Amino acid sequence: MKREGILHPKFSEKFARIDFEAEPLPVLTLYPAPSPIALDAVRLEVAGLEEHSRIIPWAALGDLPRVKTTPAIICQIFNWSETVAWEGVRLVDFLDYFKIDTHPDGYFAFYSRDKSFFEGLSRDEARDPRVLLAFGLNGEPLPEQHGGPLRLVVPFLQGYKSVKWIHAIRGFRNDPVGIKRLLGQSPTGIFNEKWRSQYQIVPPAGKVGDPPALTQPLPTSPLTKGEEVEPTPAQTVILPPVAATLSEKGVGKRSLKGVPSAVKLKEVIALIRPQKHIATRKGLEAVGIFSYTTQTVL
Amino acid sequence: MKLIRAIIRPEKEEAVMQNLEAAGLYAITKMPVLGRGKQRGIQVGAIKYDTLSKMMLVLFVDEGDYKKAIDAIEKGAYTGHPGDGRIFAQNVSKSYTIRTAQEDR
Repeated sequence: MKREGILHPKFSEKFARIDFEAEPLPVLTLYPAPSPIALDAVRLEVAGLEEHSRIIPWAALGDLPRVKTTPAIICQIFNWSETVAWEGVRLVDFLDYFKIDTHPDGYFAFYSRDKSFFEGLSRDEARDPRVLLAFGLNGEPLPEQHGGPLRLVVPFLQGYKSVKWIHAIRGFRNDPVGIKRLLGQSPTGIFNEKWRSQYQIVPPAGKVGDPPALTQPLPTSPLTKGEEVEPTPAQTVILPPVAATLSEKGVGKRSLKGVPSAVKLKEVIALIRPQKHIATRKGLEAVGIFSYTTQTVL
Repeated sequence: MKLIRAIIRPEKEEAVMQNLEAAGLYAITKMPVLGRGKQRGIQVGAIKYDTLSKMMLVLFVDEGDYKKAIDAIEKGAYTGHPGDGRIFAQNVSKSYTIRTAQEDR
């Protein structure tokens, strides 16, 4: 074993590929890698908060200054780190050059060409000059297995925020809730104290990390203020539509004086054989019941 | 007395716990669960997730604490996106403390 101290979280079996022998970095991909393309073939789909989407060919980035940095890339979940040399363009230069922006208190979401993986950064994080759109690794073109030809590098957040195979960037007013939080695999991209002190990591000023720091005021539900709720990006929500779920929580439907009289719910607890889970789910769906919670018991 | 079961995003557990503590509610049981709502899970690209990781919080609160418990959970667990979870509440007829064998009043 080349790398010592690797930890395997319980969801490691969900990964499409795990290779800790790879050089110069381990290869960890949650979803199958997309088909390789050349750097010149990269087309970035971008949209700021108030703009229509645009497609920017790689050749259009020729005027941006190239930078080389050597930050560590750290995977806190699997407990490894490697210091490598990255070459690329600063994301903030890219955003400014193409006038892509979001609300001052907003976010950007970054989408992988695998069509599944995506993560978000606050505007303050995204505009930190340490964040790169990287196309070079240790003096060579960025290999496909490490996210080539173009990936994000966010050295002050956990490794999964450095989205591989970048193909789209979009501005959001509210936190787009990245895939790792969506799947319950990581509560926040912020490093713990061990990694912060080992690498002297200084987070950018402003809004950092997700969910918002608990010292900040708790967000107020837009449902109580009549604001529109922004849809979650890059996920296909199967029918019924999202609006149906949100309206269910509408103000005035619930009485806090007791169990709501208008809502008649029955609790059903079923202890079943594990191998009958899918058959049970299909049986429930057949009678129009789609919501449930499961727990393994002895 | 009310039984409250809240199914929330795992990353919102700490915020909810802090809100509950701030409201003077310290007794809680929690467990990791898998679950889904009416959306039947989510589809991310080609991958379909039938269920997603959630945290279930179980609280028994007095009638007078019921409203602030619900508020604490809602504000702590809220993101505005589908998948924020559900809160279920029901009446409890009896409650006993095992150590003292006394019925709770």
